[in-house]
Amino acid sequence: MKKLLLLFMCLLLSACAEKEILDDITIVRTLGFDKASKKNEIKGTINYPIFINEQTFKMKYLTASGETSKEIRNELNEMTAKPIFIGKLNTILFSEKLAKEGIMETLDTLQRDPGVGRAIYLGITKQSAKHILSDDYNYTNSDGNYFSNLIKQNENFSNLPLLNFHTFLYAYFADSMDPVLPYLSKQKDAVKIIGLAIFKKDKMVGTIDEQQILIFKTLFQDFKEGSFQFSNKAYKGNLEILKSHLDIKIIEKPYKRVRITVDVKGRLTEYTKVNAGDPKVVKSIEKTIKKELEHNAQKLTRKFQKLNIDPLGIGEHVRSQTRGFNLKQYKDQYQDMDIEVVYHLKITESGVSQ
Amino acid sequence: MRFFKTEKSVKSNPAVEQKENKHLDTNILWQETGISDWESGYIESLISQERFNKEVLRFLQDHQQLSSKEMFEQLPFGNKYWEDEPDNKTINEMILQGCVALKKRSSSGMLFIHIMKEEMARSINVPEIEFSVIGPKEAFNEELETNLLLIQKRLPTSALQIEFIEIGLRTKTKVAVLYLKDIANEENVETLKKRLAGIEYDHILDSSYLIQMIEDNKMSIFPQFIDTERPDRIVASLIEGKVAFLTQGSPHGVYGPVSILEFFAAFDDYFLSWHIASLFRLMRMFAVFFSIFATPIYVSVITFHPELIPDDLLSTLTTSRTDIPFPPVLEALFLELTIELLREAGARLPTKVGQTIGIVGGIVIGTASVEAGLTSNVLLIIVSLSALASFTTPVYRMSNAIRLVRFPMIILSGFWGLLSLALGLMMIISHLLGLTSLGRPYLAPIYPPILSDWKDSFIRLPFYVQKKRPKQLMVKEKQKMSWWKKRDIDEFE
Repeated sequence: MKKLLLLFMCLLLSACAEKEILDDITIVRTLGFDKASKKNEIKGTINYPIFINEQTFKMKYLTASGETSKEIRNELNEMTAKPIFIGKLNTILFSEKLAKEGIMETLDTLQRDPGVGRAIYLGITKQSAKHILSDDYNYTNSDGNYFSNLIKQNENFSNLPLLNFHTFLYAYFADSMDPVLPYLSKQKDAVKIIGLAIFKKDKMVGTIDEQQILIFKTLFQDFKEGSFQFSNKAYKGNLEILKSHLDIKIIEKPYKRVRITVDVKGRLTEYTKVNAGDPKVVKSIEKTIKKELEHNAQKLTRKFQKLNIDPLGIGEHVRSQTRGFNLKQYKDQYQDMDIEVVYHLKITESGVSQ
Repeated sequence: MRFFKTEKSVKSNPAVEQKENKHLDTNILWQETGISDWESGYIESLISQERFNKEVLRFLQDHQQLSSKEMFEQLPFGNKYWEDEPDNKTINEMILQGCVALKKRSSSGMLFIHIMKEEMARSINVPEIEFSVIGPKEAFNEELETNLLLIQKRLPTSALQIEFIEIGLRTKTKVAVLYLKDIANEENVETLKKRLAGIEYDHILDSSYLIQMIEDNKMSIFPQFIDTERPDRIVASLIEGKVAFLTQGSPHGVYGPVSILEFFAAFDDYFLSWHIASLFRLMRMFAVFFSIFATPIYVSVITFHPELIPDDLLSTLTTSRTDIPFPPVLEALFLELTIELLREAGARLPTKVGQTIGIVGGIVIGTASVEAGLTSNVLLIIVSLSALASFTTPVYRMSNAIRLVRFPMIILSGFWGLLSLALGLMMIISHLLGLTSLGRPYLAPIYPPILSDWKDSFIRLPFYVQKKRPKQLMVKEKQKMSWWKKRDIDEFE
């Protein structure tokens, strides 16, 4: 009897559970943050679907400004018919202007919210985030998945490295690493990834342009899909990367020389002028591409050193390979460190020929 | 009808006994036979008049000179009994069981001859509940003797023990307990016999009465015995080392101890190839989980955890729910109740009408309620699928239990979502862990884990792999076969 009473009392607690019935909530799919005109204020934009009937639904956006993201949320809540639900969020966008001043202040509440997943995507927009969210790109974004799918498919099947909320937070909270995020821009009818935004902690300090995304990816992680466009005076072509393996090793301790070795296996998919079926020719192409890759990679690492940032996480690799790692000493020496990049390229296929 | 000298297990009801003691039954027809001074007593509807006239009376006439004791010795009947000093109680009992009492007025003592009327029993039919496409198609009927015959025919061994107990203060129902002497665990046999003997109840009309009275946990909704209408299934269980009982007047044999997994094994599984049987069994297990948890998961996800819905389903689910006035719990309960009503109506109506109700009701009510905006079409699919899944359980008792378990789960998930669903699952599991069947663990091959018994649980491996009887039954003879050597199938010694 006592047990039953206890059970019954437990049932009374059910009033404490917060109900979020699917059709009674505003399901926010994308969040955008901009700098507001007032000082110290940011402008938040939410993008959510409204369902008209089973076949048609469209995205609606709302904007409000406030000093914190919680304040923005409250402001927005005062405008929506159904309470705002943030659990199905898939992308958070920041305008470049805001990113240059730091985004962690805004991200912090979202980072603490257990309802927000870590597999969602972050992006930096060249234009204002509101400008990007206010368009539905000829129904492309009618389900609210456009931005996340755009980033996801580029990460899985193309040159964009794997970047999401989790990797951002990892890089941000690591002692000697800095985050990178996709850099988006609105074109006529679509949003395009025009490069990577590089950060010093949570402040954006520069960009990597489109051509160098792949180089960055090879230096950043192992992957299995990507393509590299190469050209010189005599010919141009395209190398489809089948496999890329990254290895970072200290050559001279402490913190003097680091070698990044990248093993790349690839397939020649496009090639002008010379007969690519000839093994000799393939060898020479291999050499050319290798040189180009190494040259570009060196340019990147030098750029990072100049900005005193470490998006590649070299510091993390060094730390893991050094007993008694001294962070302060490493940071002092980082800009003068010799970062060597070596590519081992192997072209395994050159397509059907003859 | 065979006359069974039963073990007197019934603790008699004193009130009933006194009444019976004082008077002879008024239905008994006492009359002079007209042959010397013999008088006879019997109940007309019980005995075979033809045999009485042709065999008993003729013999009396031919041997008029014999005294009653001599007559008893010479009577050419198998079922004859002699009482030196019969009291009214014995006389009543014997006559009510289909005996003719014969008494010579001049001498003491009474003799009884059992010549009960051959009953008009139902013929042996095809199993209706546990129908199998392949395999024998004989089912028990209401006659205990026929049922025993069906079993003995399949088990011509002297190890087969049949013990009779009489249960029911008024119905005096005969129950036959069956087991194989050299295999079955004696503890199991004793437990079952003791429990059966301990029953004090007015009337036992079917073996399901007994099942409910001897279950280990009578509060549990999970059945702890399997009742089957297939004699082959009873035989298989006996050979495995289980104990079975048959009840007079019941077309179902019952056996135990059982584990929960047996309820999802159709006997058909043994007739099909083991690959297919295994697939079917796994399918049934999946169906059980689906049936119990599909609707509750839907309810809790829609109500409390919309973040769990995949992106592609978001619009479908949202739009399907937009016009619905009820919270998801009520919506789900409403639909589940509709399906249960359909099932119940179908079960109560005559077969032909029942079928129509099922189809018409399912289609018409389902479609109409979606169109009227009372339920969402996604939920309709889930509910009808889970109802369908619950019908795959081969044992009727279990499939009912599964359908019942679903309701508290739905209500719970309406309270706290997945949290309370997990709580409910925990409660079910802890209940099952504590449950026993004839004192043996109910979850047996799973917990306590007995890996060797898994060969015939979730899956059914080929016969040559199953060399031993299930360990959980603690049988006397563990080996099922000793002759299976690794050799070519056509190689002879």
